[in-house]
Amino acid sequence: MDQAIVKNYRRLVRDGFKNAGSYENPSILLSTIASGIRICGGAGGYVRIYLNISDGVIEGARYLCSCDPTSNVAVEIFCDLLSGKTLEEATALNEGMFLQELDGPSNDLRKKARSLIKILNDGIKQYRAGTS
Amino acid sequence: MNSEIDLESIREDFPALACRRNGKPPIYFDSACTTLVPRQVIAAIDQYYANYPACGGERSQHWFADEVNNRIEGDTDSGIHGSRQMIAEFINARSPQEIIFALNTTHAINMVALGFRFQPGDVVLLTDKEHNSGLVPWLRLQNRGLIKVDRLVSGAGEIFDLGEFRKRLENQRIRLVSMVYTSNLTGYTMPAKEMIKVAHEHGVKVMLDGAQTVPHEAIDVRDLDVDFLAFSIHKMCGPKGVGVLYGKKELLDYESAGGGGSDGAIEPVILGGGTVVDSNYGDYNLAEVPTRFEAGIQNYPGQIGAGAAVQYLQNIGMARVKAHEIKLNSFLTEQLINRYGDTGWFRILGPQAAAERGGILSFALRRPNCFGISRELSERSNIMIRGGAFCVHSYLNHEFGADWLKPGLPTDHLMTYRVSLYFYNTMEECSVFLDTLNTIFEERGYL
Ligand SMILES: Cc1ncc(COP(=O)(O)O)c(C=O)c1O
Repeated sequence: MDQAIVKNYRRLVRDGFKNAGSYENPSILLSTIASGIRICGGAGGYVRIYLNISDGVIEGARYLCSCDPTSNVAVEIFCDLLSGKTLEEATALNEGMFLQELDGPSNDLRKKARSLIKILNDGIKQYRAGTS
Repeated sequence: MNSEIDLESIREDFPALACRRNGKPPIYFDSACTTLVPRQVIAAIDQYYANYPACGGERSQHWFADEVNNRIEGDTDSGIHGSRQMIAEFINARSPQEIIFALNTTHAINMVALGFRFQPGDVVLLTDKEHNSGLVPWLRLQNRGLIKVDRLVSGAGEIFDLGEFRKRLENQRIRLVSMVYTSNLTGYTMPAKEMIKVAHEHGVKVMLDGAQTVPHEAIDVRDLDVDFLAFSIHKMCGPKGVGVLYGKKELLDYESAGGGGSDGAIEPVILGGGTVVDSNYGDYNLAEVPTRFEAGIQNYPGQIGAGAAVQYLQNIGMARVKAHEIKLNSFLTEQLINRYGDTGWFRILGPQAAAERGGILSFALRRPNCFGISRELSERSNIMIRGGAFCVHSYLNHEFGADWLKPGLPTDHLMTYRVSLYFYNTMEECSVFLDTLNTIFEERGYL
């Protein structure tokens, strides 16, 4: 693990995973399924993110996961970044915003951020198509 | 004879151990999945492709084919020992005819599941910790309404409950017992001889899934009196794609004894080239055993390599293999229990004594994000272990709940990991594993 992730993750273990949880009927449900989880019960890598939207604003973001610490750090930051943003602002999320939340560089976080941003944009597109 | 393994010279036989990644040697602790292959086996396969890459099975009449055949079936004139004979001797079968080459354990178990002539309502009794390969073939037959599948749950201390087993045989219409001999999850080896004796007293046939037993200790099928035994050559230093079904001769010949065959005899599942001696537009005559079970052109290099693998293990000595694994496992077990035994979030699966788990040490962790540890061990120190359900989903889902691998709250996370050892592993490797694991735990804030 990158040192910046270690620091951030240990804080999560100590202080709690404040965005962990779910909504019963989320406006948007995002999910990342890592390959290999099913064959012979491979190890983890699965995150489900629940977004509650009201009047075009993300009022809450929660997640459930079976993933490693780096992914968990990424998804906690993701939920923090999304809360209170309009959908317009959410689509402007970038990798740099994730990295600003850490005390140092992390290539691994950058990769996780990239995939979260992609599924977010896909989810928002689908949501807009369904509500327009 | 020295009872210790000559590790230094043995390790030189395995080219994979000389590979380096980030300057570090591989620490291969995933032998329950598949083992590393010594150069002697690689050479036997190489020679096939370089010198006589032809078909066997007495189909063709030229010297390439003779070379292949001699290496698999043997040649008494030139004193060549065939691999089928070597495997028969390795497990003390009565004859090479009792050795059927299969793709792997899964294939061998399916041969029995699909070739055994069940009557509706027959019960097949399993353990509660079958690998999917020893479970799913039976569930399919159950789903088709042909059999009922039942399971015997381990007794206290995670060991085989012989008393309960006897009761089941007395009260149920059990036709076949199909059980994992050594669990790939816990490493526990059941008292097969006693179990088989009781089954036979009740007229019930027994198949053992020996995938994790045959590679790790001396097996004597005659002493066990087992009816069928399935195992994989790739888990015992041999090539991938080769397994074995051992069956008592009379149980491989369903046509004999007046056409009915002896009770419990299996018929071949896949027919075609190589399985018949004659055919016309309306019918066919099956070939002898074991040829009738080996349909189509076979994995000849693999079968030849299987002989080399068995020879390799025999030269080391199976008693030494077993003792070495237990020595390493005892060290790991003691260290892990000392370090994490009181944490409440670390638990070794199966019997707690290493001597009862051979070369397998599986542990469950209940910590946030306890996923990805095998990947981290690999990236940090080139250590290869496995995490997940190890194809024993049924038991783990029952133990931990069907959703245990699904997304949940980090505080509810749970993951299982397996270290599986073989004779080429060392104490130093175990120490590197322990230190690296501890660093990962510390880094994650678990300690
Ligand atoms: C106990 C057990 N049975 C069956 C199998 C399946 O073996 P194969 O994949 O060689 O068919 C395995 C493999 O891990 C095993 O451990």
